[in-house]
Amino acid sequence: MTTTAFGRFVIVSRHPRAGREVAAIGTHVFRGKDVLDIGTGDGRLAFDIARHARRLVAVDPNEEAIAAARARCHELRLMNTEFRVADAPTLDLGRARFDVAIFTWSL
Amino acid sequence: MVDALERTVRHLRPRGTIVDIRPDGSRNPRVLSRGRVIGELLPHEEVAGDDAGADAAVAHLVRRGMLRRGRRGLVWHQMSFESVAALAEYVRTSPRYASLPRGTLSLARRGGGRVTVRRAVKYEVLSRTAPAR
Repeated sequence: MTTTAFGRFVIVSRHPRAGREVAAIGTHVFRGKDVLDIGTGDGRLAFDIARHARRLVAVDPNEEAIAAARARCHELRLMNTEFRVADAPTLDLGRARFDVAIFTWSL
Repeated sequence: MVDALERTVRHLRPRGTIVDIRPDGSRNPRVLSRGRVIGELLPHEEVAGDDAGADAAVAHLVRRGMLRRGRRGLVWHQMSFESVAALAEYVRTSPRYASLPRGTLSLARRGGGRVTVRRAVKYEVLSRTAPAR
């Protein structure tokens, strides 16, 4: 359980651990795969997906969210994960190809 | 949304997978006080339109034979608010939710103030069936 300040009030937030959502989707979907996470936000799902994926590229148009995700990524010393500022309609990753793309609340 | 999906499919390898996970627009989040449902959060009209648009975009690519539907399901999200005021503030500033039905806040106050919101998040696993165009 996490507690977050929200304006003048406090929300006691009980979001499910990302692991629960990834488990529902099926960890086998991500295991050993190159994964693109679109609309990653602060990387809530990305960090759990990264435990299973071979490589993860996570994008979001929100620069602050990506900065927070990069900081967390650095703390966790994840070597297979990269966060980029980008959004789905203008997504251009050059010739990069992925096995899995996940739209995280972003479609 | 169709553009976003098509652009993403172009970055997928043959037989790649797309996972779509987002709040289920067909089920309004429920507000609970002491374990009883006392109301629902009502989304902004444009959010409902976005949900329908996303569903239509997926259906469009399925019809075109670019994607094939796979497993789908629901995950429940739960948020607890320490007070009725916190819930009201959350709704007031939320880009997704417009309002609470009249009477919900007073019911919540009678229940001691602490409330929980449960919302359904749906997911679907789709696979790429044809080369990107």
